Amino acid sequence: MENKMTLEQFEAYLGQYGADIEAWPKHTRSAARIFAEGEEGGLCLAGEIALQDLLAAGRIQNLDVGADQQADAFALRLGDIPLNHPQVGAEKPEGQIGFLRFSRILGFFGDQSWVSVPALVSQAAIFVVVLGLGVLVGMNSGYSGLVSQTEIDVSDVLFVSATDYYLDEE
Amino acid sequence: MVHTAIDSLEDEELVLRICSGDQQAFRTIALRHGGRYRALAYRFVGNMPLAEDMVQEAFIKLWTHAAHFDRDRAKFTTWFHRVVVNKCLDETRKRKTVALPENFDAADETASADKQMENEAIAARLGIVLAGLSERQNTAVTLSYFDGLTNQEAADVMEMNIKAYESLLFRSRAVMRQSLLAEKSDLLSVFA
Repeated sequence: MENKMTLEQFEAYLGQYGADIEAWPKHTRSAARIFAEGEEGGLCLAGEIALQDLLAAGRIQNLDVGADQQADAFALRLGDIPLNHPQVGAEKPEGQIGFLRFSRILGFFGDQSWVSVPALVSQAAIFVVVLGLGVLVGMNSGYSGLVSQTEIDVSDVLFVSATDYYLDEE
Repeated sequence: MVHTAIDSLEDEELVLRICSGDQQAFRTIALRHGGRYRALAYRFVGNMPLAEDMVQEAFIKLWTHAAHFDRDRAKFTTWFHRVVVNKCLDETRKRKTVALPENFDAADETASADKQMENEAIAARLGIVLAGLSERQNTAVTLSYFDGLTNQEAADVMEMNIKAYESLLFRSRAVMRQSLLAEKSDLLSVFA
């Protein structure tokens, strides 16, 4: 058992075990009680009790602030953050990934709206329409039946004329 | 049914879902912790609109950069406490003023006048006591005594070892105790 306690020792135990001396280690209690009856110890103990009360009141205030109605409204407001802020490095919907990767490789196209789904659908529609028109125009032209092989074979004429040219030179 | 399942998930699991763009997981974590971090930020900056801005910025960072959270290194709350506390400390440094808590019930119209006066008195005394602390001491006191973290959790938030943290807290208490005693002796000298 310690018979005497210094202010430093008393403060150290006070900081570690609080203002209730009965909660301190058994071997310190007797000396602590004697020290607490003195002016220094009494002031120190009173200061610790006042501090404990003040901190407890502050803790309750914090709980009130954390649980009031405005706190609930605030938490609900936080829930809207995903609607207004895109995630960094977020993946796009699967259907676009391949096209978007391709368009990123082609970076010089600036904005990549030309590879969006509506743009691609409209491009495909235009392609079909133009192709269809081409086929229709082809089918309605003056073309009638097959042309015989002799009608289109001009190789004889070309060959003869080229031979004549070389003979004339000699 | 789906919401109930999400509600029962742990924070770390929710953050994993947030990484993959799960908005419901984000809303769950915001509802679970929004009020608590609002109160914590208020303790630091002493102004509710500003505290809400700080917390909102922290939650925006959580949504946009959720992948920065490393669940192997820390609990979500430890990591997020650090984010909120650092934001608040940056803000108070910018302002270069001691943030004394404003009237806690200013927006609470249902609080009685007595309760309001009591809260003001507590806030004023806390303001005096906390003003004598350094930034680190103030952070330690706020985390341990007002936010209710264990010493180990608070040490993790402040990235200190437990012994150093307890020593910091011990010194903080001594400073606060001295402030209270000085206040009391000032009062006694006035009456004397």
